[in-house]
Amino acid sequence: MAASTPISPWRELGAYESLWLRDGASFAKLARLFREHAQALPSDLVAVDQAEDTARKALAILRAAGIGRFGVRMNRTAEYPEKLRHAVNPVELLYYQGYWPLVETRSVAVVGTRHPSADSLCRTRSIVRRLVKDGFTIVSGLAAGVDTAAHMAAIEQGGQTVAVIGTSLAGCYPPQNRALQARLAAEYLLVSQVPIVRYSVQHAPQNRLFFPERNATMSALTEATIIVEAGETSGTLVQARAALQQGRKLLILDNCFQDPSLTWPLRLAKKGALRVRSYGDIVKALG
Amino acid sequence: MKFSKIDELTRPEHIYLAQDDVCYYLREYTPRVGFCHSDTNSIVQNFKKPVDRRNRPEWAYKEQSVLQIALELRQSFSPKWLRAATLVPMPPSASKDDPRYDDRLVRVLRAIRVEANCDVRELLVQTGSTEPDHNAGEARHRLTPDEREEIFAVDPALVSPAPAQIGVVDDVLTNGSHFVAAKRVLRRQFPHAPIIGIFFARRQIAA
Repeated sequence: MAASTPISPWRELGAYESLWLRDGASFAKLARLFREHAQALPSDLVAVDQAEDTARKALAILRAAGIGRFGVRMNRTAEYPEKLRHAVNPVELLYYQGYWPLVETRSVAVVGTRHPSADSLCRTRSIVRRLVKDGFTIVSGLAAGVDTAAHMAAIEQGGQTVAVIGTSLAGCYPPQNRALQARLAAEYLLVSQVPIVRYSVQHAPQNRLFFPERNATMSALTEATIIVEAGETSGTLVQARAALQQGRKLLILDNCFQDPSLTWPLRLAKKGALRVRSYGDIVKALG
Repeated sequence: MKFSKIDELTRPEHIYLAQDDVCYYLREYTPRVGFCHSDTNSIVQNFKKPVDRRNRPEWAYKEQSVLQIALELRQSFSPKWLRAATLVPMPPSASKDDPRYDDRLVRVLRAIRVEANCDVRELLVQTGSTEPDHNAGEARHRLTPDEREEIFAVDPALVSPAPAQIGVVDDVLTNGSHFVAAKRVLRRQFPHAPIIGIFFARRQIAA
């Protein structure tokens, strides 16, 4: 007789990775699967041998990439943040390295284009410095440009920062951020919802789809998303829509509204985004 | 809330645990130098407050943590197992004749017994006091299972009737030396009873 039917994180990881190896797997399809099997754990949907075999594969991939310690968070366990369920397609399981409790701090996502203007970089650093002073953890996506500036400014300011990355823990993009990724994993928090085995066996064009998907998780983890600068087709806008869907605050810097070539700022403002002219506006919005 | 079990993923963080050591936990505790607030961390820290703070206002948080840990554990057990099992608190680092003696785990188990009417026995005693592991720091020696085994004993007054199943309950699973020593000492006395470790949280090594 057992004291309970305990969850084996190892087996769940393997089962979840196995579900991702099925043809046509996507976050939307997996979220639907778990909605249809409301009480199910991944291991209820996959044979034990297959789950354990896939778990071993995932671990081998991480080891080969030099990843030592990492953890998983999964739905129905104590440390899984309920706020992740606010996403349209909530992730059932995710990976992390570093200090998980940072997800329980007050946090704001600061995101934007990979090719920011000098002014935008300056604004990013200034906003992050003030948010850190006010006790907020800075969350971003470790992309080039605004994301990198946001993480770096938080570290320089002695603050806390979290990266929600679009690669698996074994990957890194852009490659020049490898050292920053390692530092975030060791001293702060690095989060990835990307399945490790699937990511390693499919090609780059398919893997690129993981980048916008992680923006919904980044939004769900935070109180608000601040967009510093973004083009008409930017992946940042995925996060903007997710923030509004999830009932998070969406703050758009005034300079985005002043660019006549952009239509998205006004469109999102009509749906509830706030136009931010000063840091005071951010403070007021965050309450 | 469901228990998780120590498995291939987490066992390397608890160096004394072997594959046949069955250990369950509910939460994960992440120590960090400097700032590291979390719900779990604050419950654990309140629970471990030393008894010399008994007369301070902060003591109320310790009392709350006792009740919360009892509630979460009780709700996670299979009721059938709880009826058949004997819950044994891990002996605290300070023995009963020491002014630092802390009965926090005993009080958790008593609170579980009030609701679940299960068998709770202080079967394990520690002969003499040791420095608590959470005060030991990295530089100081932490006892190995062999060393701990020498100072753990079974209370002969409580051995009868022999338990059918034993759950050794502790607040935080760290390197596993307490559990391994406790299991060895209890196994000698009760060779037929399955012995598992039940922890409110496991200590997680972040980096």
